[in-house]
Amino acid sequence: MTWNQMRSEVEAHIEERAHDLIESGMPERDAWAQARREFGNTTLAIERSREVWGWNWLEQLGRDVRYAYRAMAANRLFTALAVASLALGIGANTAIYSFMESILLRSLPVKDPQSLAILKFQRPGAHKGSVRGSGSNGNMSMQITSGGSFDGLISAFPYPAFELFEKRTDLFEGVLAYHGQPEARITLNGGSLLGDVDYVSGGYFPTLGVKAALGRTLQPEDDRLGAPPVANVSLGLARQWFGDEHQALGKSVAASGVNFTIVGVTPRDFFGANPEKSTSVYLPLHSFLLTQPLRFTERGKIFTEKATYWLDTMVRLKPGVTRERAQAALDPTFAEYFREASGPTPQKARMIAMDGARGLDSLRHDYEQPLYVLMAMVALILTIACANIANLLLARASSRKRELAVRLSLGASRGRVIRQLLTESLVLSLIGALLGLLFAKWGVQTLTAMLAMGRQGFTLRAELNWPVLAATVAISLVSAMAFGLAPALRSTKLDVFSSLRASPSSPGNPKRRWMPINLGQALIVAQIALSFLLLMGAGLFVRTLSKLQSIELGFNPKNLLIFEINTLQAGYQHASSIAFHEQLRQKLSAIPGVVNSTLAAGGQLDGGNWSLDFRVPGSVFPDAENKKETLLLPVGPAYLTTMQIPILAGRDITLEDQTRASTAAVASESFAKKHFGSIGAALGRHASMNFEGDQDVEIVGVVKDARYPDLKTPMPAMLYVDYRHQSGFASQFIRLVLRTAGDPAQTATAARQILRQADPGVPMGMMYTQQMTIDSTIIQEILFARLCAAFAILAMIIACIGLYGTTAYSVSRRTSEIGIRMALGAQGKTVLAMILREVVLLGLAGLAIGVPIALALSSLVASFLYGIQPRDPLTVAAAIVAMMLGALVAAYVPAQRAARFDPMVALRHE
Amino acid sequence: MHEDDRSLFPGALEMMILQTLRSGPSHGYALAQVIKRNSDDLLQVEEGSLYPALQRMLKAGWVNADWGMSPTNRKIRIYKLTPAGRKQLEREVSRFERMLEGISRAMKAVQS
Repeated sequence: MTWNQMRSEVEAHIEERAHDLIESGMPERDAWAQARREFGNTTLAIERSREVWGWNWLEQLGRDVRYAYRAMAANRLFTALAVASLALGIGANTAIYSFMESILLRSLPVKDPQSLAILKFQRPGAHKGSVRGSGSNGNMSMQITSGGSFDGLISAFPYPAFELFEKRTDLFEGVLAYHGQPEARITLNGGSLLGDVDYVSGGYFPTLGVKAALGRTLQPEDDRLGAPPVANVSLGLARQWFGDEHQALGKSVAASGVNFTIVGVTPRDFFGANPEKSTSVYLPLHSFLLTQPLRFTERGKIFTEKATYWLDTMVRLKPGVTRERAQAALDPTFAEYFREASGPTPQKARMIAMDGARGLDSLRHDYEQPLYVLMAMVALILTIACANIANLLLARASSRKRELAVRLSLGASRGRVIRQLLTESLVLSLIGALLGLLFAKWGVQTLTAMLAMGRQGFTLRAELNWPVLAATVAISLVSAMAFGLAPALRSTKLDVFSSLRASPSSPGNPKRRWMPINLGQALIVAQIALSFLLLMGAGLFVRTLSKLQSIELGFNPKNLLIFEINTLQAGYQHASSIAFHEQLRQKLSAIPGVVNSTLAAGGQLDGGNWSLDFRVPGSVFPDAENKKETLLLPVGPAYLTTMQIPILAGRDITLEDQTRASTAAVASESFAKKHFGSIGAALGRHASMNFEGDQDVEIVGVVKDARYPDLKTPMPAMLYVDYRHQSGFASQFIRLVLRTAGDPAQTATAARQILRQADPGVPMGMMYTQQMTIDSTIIQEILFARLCAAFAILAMIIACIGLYGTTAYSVSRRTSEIGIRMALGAQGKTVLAMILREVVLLGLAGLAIGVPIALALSSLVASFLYGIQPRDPLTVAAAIVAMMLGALVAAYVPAQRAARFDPMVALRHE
Repeated sequence: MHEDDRSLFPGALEMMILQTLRSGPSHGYALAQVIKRNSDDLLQVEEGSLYPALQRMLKAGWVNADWGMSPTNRKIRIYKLTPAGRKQLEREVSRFERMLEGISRAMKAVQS
């Protein structure tokens, strides 16, 4: 039965009574008045009648929501501030936690990832540093470092070692090995592309427990010499190149010119065992012999070579076997193998089994700690936001005391009023949560884009983490309701008369008046302290970034266009490769805008380095008679000129150097001084390089020191050697380096075209500018600085929002007090100063708490800084100034309004 | 729920309504008038509490309601006693009489 029906009944009752009274002679108006009076509260009657049936709560909720909406629309500023605080707090938190979860916690989409382990080994005193990007190579000492990673753990194994692991069925349910070839040339359905190819052992898919989305996965019987060449492709590749994955089955895909039949498509989520890349094609491991030229496969013996390290290995532990146990069991076996395999000088190695649930973990390692720091920051922001909500609600509740008293006196039950206030808080929180959700989505996208900037082929897609969103929404909701409720409870207990009579600014109960002010101010002080923490952090990271960006490089990084090609993959031999390189270089230098051009077999700043043993006879450096590992960079003619590394003595490498007997080399200043005492003394000296035998190297020039291989390493003593003499150098991806007059990007298209015209079969790798590489090296610092700055600004905005609100409220509460002061002669300026002084006091109190805490905590982030101390006084001072300025600006507007009060109006204000 | 009721005790209103309905179906206003008249205005019944009471009795199944027209041609409901309601009335009456008996005995004991 509806409200209207009840109302009709009630009104009929009253009507009948009125008519009766009229009939008995009462005048009409009096009759109606009496009838209504006798009936009593009609609304109450109807409500209670409906309550009996229990539908009432829903209607009441609807009415409460509508009332809440009206109240919020009336107080637009309050609503905006509260909602903004909530949205920012919830959004920032959810974005960061979602991002964290994707990067740190996401598991491989395989069966039972927890029982997977990655095998690595460690050489005591291993060289730290990594060589990225290229395929396999023949030389042993090169290979070990090329499999290495940042932490000195090497994750590449020889095939015979893998066979040893396979035999351990007591420890492992399955063992897999694979070799990843990034940016290999893949041809299918009439086109070709560069994509990631994984050569996988027969046990790869069975061990991972991955079932094909279509067709079948590669099985052990496919991984044999002489087996029909079959392949699996990713779902993405299949759809992209065949339209529909069903069309891909049975078709042919060619890798490095060898045809394979597609027998299966991998599931959508599966990207291979390495989350940093997305594998397009899976080929049987043994087909490596088919696709690679002999020089890459140890002349066909790569599967029996004991000391060629080229396979990534993962195992699935048997139930009950822990990683520690497997590691301990495997260690003696592998140590012995390594000792035997390391030839005349036996070397030691230690087995490590790492958690394989999330796949190769370099990404995680890079970002784990910074992300924890970011998480802490974002939690702070949420706290500040909740404090804001609390403050705003408290302020508003006090100012509504009278409204609530009126409602109570008109017959509203206390429960009803409380319920309605709660509904208001709820609606507010929900709107804030909704906006927070949008903000979080946007935040996650931005973070992913920022992270991907430094890495090619980035496949991690962070998704919104719903539990975290729910948690942050819940936290905000609870704090909103708690702070909306407390004053509500207090207000509705009031003696109705006294609050109706009392104006908001009259003394009232002094004790009660103390409470809201104190709590609000305390919250502001806390917010200021927290904001200071964030400001200081931001300051430190921004300065670190600027220090990094102004590091002296030793060469000119501007306007350098770089791209890689691989002629060996297109079937060129050594001599024809070099000829092709030079022809290409000449064509490229003819492009208008290209000032200089050269080649190199490695990057100056991409983190990877070449190092070989050199013997330097006649060196003043002790023990340099014996072989010593030295850093080098194989380059082509005019490299140093193109890179604008100043030549201090002698000359650059030239075209003619190719025909010399010995390999031409240019030494860095440190090298010359280290081995020969002075720059001049190095000219004409010889050294012996151990690479494919002993090679004679002659120093033809000395240049100023330059950074190699990354920004933070001190400039090394190194050699730039002519790459053309050793086929081992030319078999890598060769980079063409072009110095352009203007924006390098403009030359990019022309360069691509020239390459395609020269030989369409030669695949081009990534094309980028040197500046981009530098940025990607310091991507973490860039990310950090930007994020922290964003967070600090966010925190300040939220805190200032709170300060603005509190000041405005305080001003309105003290309107008559201000009026009295002005009537007694105070100027507008005086009033302004008075209010601002109070704000300054709050600020100082906040800083008094925040600064010591910041100084204490700053040592935690010391490892992320560069060139700056964690307690850098300049940064501290700047943060203090920023915070105080922000506080003053926030309080200025309401303070200014107070200063402009007309005393007459103020005095009459109730 | 019954705070605003100025009846003597909870349930008294329901009892009087049931009793009134025993003589025949009635609508809200008429019920109010009868109760007032019968108690000679001694018992102040807030008319507004009549309707919630009627709804409670409807829910409990002691009365039935039909739609009808008031003398002023408005749509109203006409309430009728059900057999269950009749039984409830008997129970209430005997409970009331026992209570009355108990009180008077207790009072007599005090007095004597």
